[in-house]
Amino acid sequence: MAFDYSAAVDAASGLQSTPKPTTRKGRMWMSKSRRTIGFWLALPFVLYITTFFIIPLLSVCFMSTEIVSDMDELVPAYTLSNYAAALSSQYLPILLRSALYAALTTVLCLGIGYPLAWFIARHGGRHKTLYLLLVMLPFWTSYLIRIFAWMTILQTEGVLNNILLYLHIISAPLDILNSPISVILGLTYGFLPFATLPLYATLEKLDFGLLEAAADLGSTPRKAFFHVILPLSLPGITAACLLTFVPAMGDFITPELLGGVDTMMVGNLIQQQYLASFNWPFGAALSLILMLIMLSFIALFLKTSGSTELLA
Amino acid sequence: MDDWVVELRGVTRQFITRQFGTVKAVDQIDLGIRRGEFFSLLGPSGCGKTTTLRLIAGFEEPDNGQVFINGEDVSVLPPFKRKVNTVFQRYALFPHLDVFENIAFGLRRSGTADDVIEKKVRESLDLVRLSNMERRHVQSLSGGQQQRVALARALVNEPEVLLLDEPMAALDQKLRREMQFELKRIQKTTGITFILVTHDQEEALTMSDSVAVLNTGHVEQLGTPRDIYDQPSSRFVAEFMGTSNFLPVRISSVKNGRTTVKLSDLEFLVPSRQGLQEGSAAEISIRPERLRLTHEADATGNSMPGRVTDAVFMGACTRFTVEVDGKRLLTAEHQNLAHSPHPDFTPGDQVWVNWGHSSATLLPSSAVSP
Repeated sequence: MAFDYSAAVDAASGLQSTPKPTTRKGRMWMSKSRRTIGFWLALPFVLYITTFFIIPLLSVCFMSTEIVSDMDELVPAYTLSNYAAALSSQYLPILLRSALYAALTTVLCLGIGYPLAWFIARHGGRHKTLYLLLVMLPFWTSYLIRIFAWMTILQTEGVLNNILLYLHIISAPLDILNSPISVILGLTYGFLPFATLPLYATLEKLDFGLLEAAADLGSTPRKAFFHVILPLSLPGITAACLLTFVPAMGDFITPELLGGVDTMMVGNLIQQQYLASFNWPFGAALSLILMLIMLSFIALFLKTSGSTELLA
Repeated sequence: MDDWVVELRGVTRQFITRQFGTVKAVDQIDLGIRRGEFFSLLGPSGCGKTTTLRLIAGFEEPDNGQVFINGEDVSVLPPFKRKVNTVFQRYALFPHLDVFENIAFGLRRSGTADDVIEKKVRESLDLVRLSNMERRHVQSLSGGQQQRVALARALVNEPEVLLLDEPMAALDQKLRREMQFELKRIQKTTGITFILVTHDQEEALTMSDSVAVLNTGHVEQLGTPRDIYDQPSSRFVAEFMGTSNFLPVRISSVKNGRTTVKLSDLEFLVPSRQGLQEGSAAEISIRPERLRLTHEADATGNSMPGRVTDAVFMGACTRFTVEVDGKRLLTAEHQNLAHSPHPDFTPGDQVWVNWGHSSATLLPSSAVSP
């Protein structure tokens, strides 16, 4: 086996190593046909990535350095003014607000998703599949429709206010819709499954016998959780954070429908530049900034958690 | 007054299962374990030995009865408040911690000072012969090494009692032998009371000071390994502790500590047993190594004629199967000593099967009380 491995390394690195006694298997590794097969297998993927990712990304990069002329035409200008505008005091609060909303959403999703995943993994028993199905069930309906449903629930004459009024818990309808609360609520609702599933996957694999071992060694349930369960569920928490924070930060449907004038997120701003203001270069700059923030967030998270599992 | 470190009084623990309804895993068990002894809970799977251990550790609460540790009623005390530690069957080492931190886990939770932890962890690593492994990742260790870490992790807390839940089950034969000696050595060095759960009778015999044989949730017999092997209290114990020959007999007379029993028209003298009256049906149990085959009847003990049907060479001994009393088959084992002619007997030989007057054990008839 060891020989095959070194032969494979040689073949892969294209090094001309000194001739070694080769087995039949070893020769096959080195053979030209194997290498050309690799090339043909990779080709569709390379073509796909180039066509649908690299070229569009480069064109967005280029577009972000253009300006819009008085004739409403895009003119190459090789300027960074669009970036400067995006980070100006006029638009920076929107970026910060997006990050804040996404962070709050992440915290809420973890707070709800962790106990939920714990319950399914530990106490789900033979109903595990059913519970998981229930977690994923909302995906069967369009996100747009579900957010419309939230509008009817949260609006002034909506379901929630009517129930609270009927039960005499409140005396006047609450103005929840079009507030930061409704946006964060909507985002939390939307991304909860994305947080729950990776947490479940981690907790499901966890050996709960370790809890007994911890108790045996003098840990209260609380200490056992913080010293054993939490460290061991870090990969799931990392995945849940990434899968919640990143899409929440870029979301625009939720703030569009559930938010108001003061809840605009960067996604809305970008959408506005492309579809309303027709300032595509500015939209491109915003998109790239957003992408950069997310990438650095991902890098930071993977580094601190020391987990490369997600990338594998 | 015995110095019990652990005592169980009338402990019952039942489980409700979908398949069998309410099952009493442990049924009215009374047990006392002396300070400093090596105690084994022995029995087949499902006999309640692991549940008994979990009741002592605190992972289970008794439905009835009480558990005492050091004379204190701990029946409802959670495991983290008990001065006992467990070596788990699958070790349950913490995969996110290295060897040192695994062993230090209990000390850290109790708020021990760092320099004391350092010292104690090193001492216990020496004890289990794993020095210089501190920073190894537990998942990179072999099964035997993981077992030693699990042992050190429990011992470092200096528990009143160390509980071992079939710790050798996952090890291969050779390693198991090695660990048995190691455990015995560590138990002697530390003087800590060990309670071992095992289904391996040889393991229980070789390691323990006392053995409790469990069956269907109750203690079948409690005693020293020798007592249990030589004087089993029931057919279950006799069968579980190695192989044995059973002969159904009728008691014809009881006199001076000896009982005369009859099988067909043959009479044997065996040690008496309380509660067995003249005329009642009984059973005698004889270990294969206690049977001697000869060509002539031996007048000093019991003997019966038979015919050899099989002889199997087994290395240290030869195992003979002898047909006696028409169709009954007995197993006899002869040590292959240097001076014994080989083979002694061959299939078809007419022989006498002999055993001493105190070599057999009288048992209540299993036909009446199974």
